Formats: sequence, C-alpha cells, structure tokens
Amino acid sequence: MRTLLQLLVLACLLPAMVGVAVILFRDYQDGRAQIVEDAVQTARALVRIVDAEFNKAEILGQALATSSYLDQRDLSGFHGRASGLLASTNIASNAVLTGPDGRQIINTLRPFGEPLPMYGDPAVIGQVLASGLPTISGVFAGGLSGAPKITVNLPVLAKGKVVYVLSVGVLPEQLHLILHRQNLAAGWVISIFDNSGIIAARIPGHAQNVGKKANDELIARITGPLEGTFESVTKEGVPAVLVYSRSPVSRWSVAIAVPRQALEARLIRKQIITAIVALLLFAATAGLAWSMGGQISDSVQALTAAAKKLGSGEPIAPSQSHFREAAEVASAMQGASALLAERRGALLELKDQLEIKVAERTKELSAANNELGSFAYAVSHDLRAPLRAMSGFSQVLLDDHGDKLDATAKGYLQQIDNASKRMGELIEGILALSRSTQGDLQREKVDISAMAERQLREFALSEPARPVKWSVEPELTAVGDRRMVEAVMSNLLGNAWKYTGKTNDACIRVHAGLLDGAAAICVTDNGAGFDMAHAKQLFQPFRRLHRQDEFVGIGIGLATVQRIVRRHGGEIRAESAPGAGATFCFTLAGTPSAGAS
Amino acid sequence: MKTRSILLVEDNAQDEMLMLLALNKVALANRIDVVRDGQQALDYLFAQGEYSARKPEDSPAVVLLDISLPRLSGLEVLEQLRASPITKLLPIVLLTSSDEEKDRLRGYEHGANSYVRKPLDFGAFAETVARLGVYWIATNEPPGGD
Repeated sequence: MRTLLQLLVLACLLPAMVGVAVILFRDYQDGRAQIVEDAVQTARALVRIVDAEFNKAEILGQALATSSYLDQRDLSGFHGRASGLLASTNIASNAVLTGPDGRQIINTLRPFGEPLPMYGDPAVIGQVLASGLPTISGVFAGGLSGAPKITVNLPVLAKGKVVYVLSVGVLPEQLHLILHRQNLAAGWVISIFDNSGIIAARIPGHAQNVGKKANDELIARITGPLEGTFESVTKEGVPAVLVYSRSPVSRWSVAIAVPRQALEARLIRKQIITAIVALLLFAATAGLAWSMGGQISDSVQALTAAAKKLGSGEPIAPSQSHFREAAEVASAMQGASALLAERRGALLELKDQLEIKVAERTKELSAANNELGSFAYAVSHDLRAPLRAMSGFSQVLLDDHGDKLDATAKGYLQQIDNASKRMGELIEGILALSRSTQGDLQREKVDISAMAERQLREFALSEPARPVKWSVEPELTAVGDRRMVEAVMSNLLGNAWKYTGKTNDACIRVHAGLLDGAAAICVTDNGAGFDMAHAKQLFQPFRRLHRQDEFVGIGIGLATVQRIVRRHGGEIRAESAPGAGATFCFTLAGTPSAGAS
Repeated sequence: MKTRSILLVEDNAQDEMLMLLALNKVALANRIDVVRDGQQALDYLFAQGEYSARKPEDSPAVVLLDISLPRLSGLEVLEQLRASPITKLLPIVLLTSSDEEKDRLRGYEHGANSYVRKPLDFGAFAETVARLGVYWIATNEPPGGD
C-alpha cells in the first residue's frame, strides 16, 4: 500500500521534475545567450569608440596637413604649431612629417632640426603616397623609441601631389584606457586588434601583449564576418566564449572572451538553488505520501481484519481509522457484525426450538409407529385363532363327518376353508409389511448375485415343472440390512417367477443398472408386464394390477419392497408394458457401487 | 410303567378342542389335563391353590404351553418353571400362532425344549400335534421320572 502510493507520487512528480529540468536548461540557455549578447553589444560599442578615437586623430591630422606653414614650407613654424595643437587637444601622442623617401623630417617628440631616423612603418607611408588617402596604420615599433605605436597617416598635398605624409600618433595606452573604463567583470578578457590581428590593447596583461600577433585561429575568425561568437581558449589557457566585432571603417576589432566558468557559474548557482528547492519539495511530497500511505494502509488493514472477522462471524472491536470513509466502513461493518451476532443468536434459538420440536415429533412418531406395529402384530395374532377354528372345524367336519354330508355341503365347507386360508395369507402380508418398518437397520455388504442365484434355485425346486431360464450378473453387491434385502430380492424374483407363469421361454435376468444416475440392481422378466398408466398403484398395499384368476396374490409384496428400499434411503422404479415383461430397478443409499463392478 | 398325563395350557376354547381332536387322532393313552391360564398352570405343576390336592412329584410327561395367555403369559410361566428345582427339567413345548422370530428366541432363552407354531391347516396341525405327542411321550424319557 505504502510502496504503491510512493510509486504513484513518483509517477506524478516525474513529469514535474522533467519540466523543471527543461525549464532550468532553457533558463540556462537564455541566460547564456543574454550574457553573450551583452558582450557583443559591448564589443560593438568599443569598436565605435576606437573608430571615434582614430577619427579625432584624423581630424587633428587634417588640420595639421592643411596648415599654412606647410604651404609656405615653414617647417620650423609647422613644428611649433603642431606641438602646440597636440598639447592643447590631448588627442594624439605626437605628429610626424615624413618625406616621400620614408625619412622623418619632423617629429614633435624631438626638437626641430635634430636628425631623425626612418619612419617606423615604411609600408604605410608607401600606401598613403600611392593612394593619396588617409590610412590608419597597424601596431608597429616606433622609429624613434621602438615602442609599439599606432598612427593615422594623411597625405600633405602640394599642387595635387603628395609631398609629405603626416602621421598622428596614437599610443596603445590610450586604447588601454578606453578598455579600463568598461569595468568588465573579473576573469573576462578584452582585446583590441589592429587590421592585421596584432594586439593593440588588452585587459589583462596589456604591457606583455601589445604588439604581439593573435593566434592564427583568432585572426582567421576576426578577419571573417564583422561579428561573431565562438568557443575558444584564452592565452592564459582558460576556456571561454569569445565574441568580437570589427569596424567596417578601420577594420580594427574588439574581442571579448567570457570564461566559460564565469559564464556558467552564475547560472549553475541559480540552477542548483532551483534543483535543491525542487528536491526539498519532492522529498516533502514523498514524505507526506509515505505518511498518508501508512495511514491509508493502517485503515485498510484494520478494515480487512474487520471484514475477515465479519466473514468468520467473530465480533468486531472498534478500530482506529485515519479517514472518514474508512471510519464509516468500519462502523458499518461493526453494525453488520452486531446485527449478524443478533441474528445468529435468534437463529440458534430457533434452531434449538426446532430441534426440540423435531425430537418431540420424532418421539411421538416413533411411539405411534411402535404402537401401530404392535397393534398390527396383536391384531394379526388374535385374528389367527378364529381362522384356525374356522379352518380347523371345517376340516374336522369334512374328515370325521364327511359321510353324513352331501357334495354341496362339502363344497361349502371347502369354501370356508379356502377363505380362512386366504385371510391367513393377508394377515401374513400385514405382518410382513409391519415387520419391514420395525427394528433397526443393520447395514452390511450383501452379495446380491449369490442371494439371487439361491432364491431362483429355490423357486425352481418348488416348481420343477416350469422351464424358466435365468441369468444373474456376477459380483453384484449392495449395502443394506441383510434380512430386508433378502425380502426385497425374494419379492422381486417371486413376482418375476409368478408373472412369467404364462410365458413361453420364460426368462429372468438380474443385472446392474442406473437409477437417477446411481448404480442400481435390476430384475427383468419377459412375463405379463403391466400398463405404465397404473404404475402408481403398483407399490400401494393390497393394490393389484391382475385378477386373482390371472395371477394369485395379495398385493403386499411390492409395498413391502418399496418400504424397505425407502427405509434404506434408496429408490425403486418399474418399467413395463402389457405383455412385454417388466424391469424393476432399486438403489440402496450407502451402496457405493451397487452392481457397477 | 404308570402313564403320565399331558398338560395343555390353552385359554382359547376352540384351539383346545382342535388340540384335543388332534391328540385323540394319535390315540395316545395319556390323560390330557387342560388348564386355561398361566397361574392355573403354575398351581397345577406346583400342586398349589386349587391343585393343592395333587402330588407335586406326579409331573406331566410334557407341557404344551401356549404363549399368549391371560394373567401370566406363557413365557412368564416358562421362566418360573425353569427357576424351580422341581420343574427345572420338565419338557415344555411352546405353542404359538406367531411367526415372530423374537418369540422363538425368547422361548429358547427361557429354556423351552421345543417350539411349535399352530398351523392354520387342521390337517397339518393334527399331524404336528401327533408328531409332538409321539415324540415326547414315546421317545423322551422325562428326567426325574421313575
């Protein structure tokens, strides 16, 4: 019960957990995208700032390049003018005037007239000379100091011809200062690259990195599309997400490396908190389910125990229920139990009363039966004496005084004798019938086959003139009172013998049969038979289906047989048709397989 | 040898007549004394009451004792006879019209020497009585006789 509920809760929680995981993942992705987007914005802004810096330098340079001092070839005056302008604007570090041969003519870092070296980046001088357009240099080693330097170079024209190249110096430190102002988060790396991928400024490690080329992969990336994001590793060996933006004007780039750790730490922290909260929630739910499961389980177990007790009829004690429904069921079962106990009590009382009544009735019945039995006995006993007198004296008359009587008188006397003998037989019948229901049943296994053989032989001996054939199935047995079974077989075989009296090829069979699905003993003859319409009268005492002049008899045999069979708890049935013989089958309860073996 | 009597204990007058007729047919020399109930039979045999004049040692050769008798039944008479040393060994034949096995068994339990059912057929009855009489009178030497 508990485990089931736990499983149910888990099944409910599982989608929630998956949902939370999906939300967390989406949140992580969104957060990450946001940070990256912020970095891209920052890089883009920085590129514009760098471009503006160069623009300012170019404007300054433009002002110098068109200076009247140069038109008038007053180089000394130009030196002074340039130095003054630089000092007042604080835009550039210095200004250099270079001749077409690449040699510096004026450098504001040096007093006028001092001999000067060749320009540090001859290629850019050539480029300006060739194109006649302002050009921004890359980072190069300055001709004077050899320190990294950036210049914005402009042509100085005289009569449409480039006569000098004016370079305005921008120090990497200026760019470094720009980066510094961004106040980027710790761990982030931000760099400015010139158009060929040389580092112009970097945080952190500006001094060590200025003038050094970026790695080839980075150069390949930042010289591609104007903006991009990719996974990379910083020079310090930190895995990072790198975003960059390149100026379409100067072709300089700003790259920001957001360390993966820094990128994920915040998000992961957020996720861990969410996950912990979710887990706590789940644990609380599971705990609640466990506790509720226990309560439900306890209640159900209490109910089950009560139901079992109800089933076995034991009284039900009040039980603790945690739920209203369970309590209601428990109370209903208690009510049912009480009701059952009450009914059982009433039933037992009724049963007792009934048993007493049955015992009384049985006693009365058996007394009546005994009375009837002794009455029948006494009556038949006392009836015999007058019969003996009637029969005896008519016989004495015939024997001793026959000579004084005529034939008619002798005939009458004979009728008296006949009548008294017949009455004697009737009395015998009543006695037999009475005996069949008197006395105790003493059940034992009876060999029906042997009994039938013996009785048939006796009939044959009593009437040797009759050629009756018979067959008895071997090993027929029945369990019953031997004396009574003997009477049953004797009556059935006697009838078969009697009613085949007028049949040629008389034949009697004793065999096994079935009666209502139970093994039965059957006696079949091919004698006179009877009409099944009268079958009901067959077993009634003194009822006969044949006249005396057809077959003599008193009509007590089958009544006796039926009483004996019924006393054994068995059944007897007859099958016949006039002239087609008859079959009588009977069962005795307590006969396991009568005749079936 | 002195001829001893036959005692018939029978309450039914017709049965008595028929019995006497049957016994006469056998033409026995014995005197036949008849008593009509159990008490009379005991008085006769123990020479008491109305038979106190009789000598007790003058016992009958055989007693034909009907079972159903008024006052004392045949079986009660039999019981008392067997209980007394005088009549303990007296030959007693029980007469009855009953077929009941019970009677026969009880008869033997009380020590009847024989059992005869009174047949309905007079011819058969006479024959039985004759056989009975001849058997007990002629062949049986009664015990305690002289």
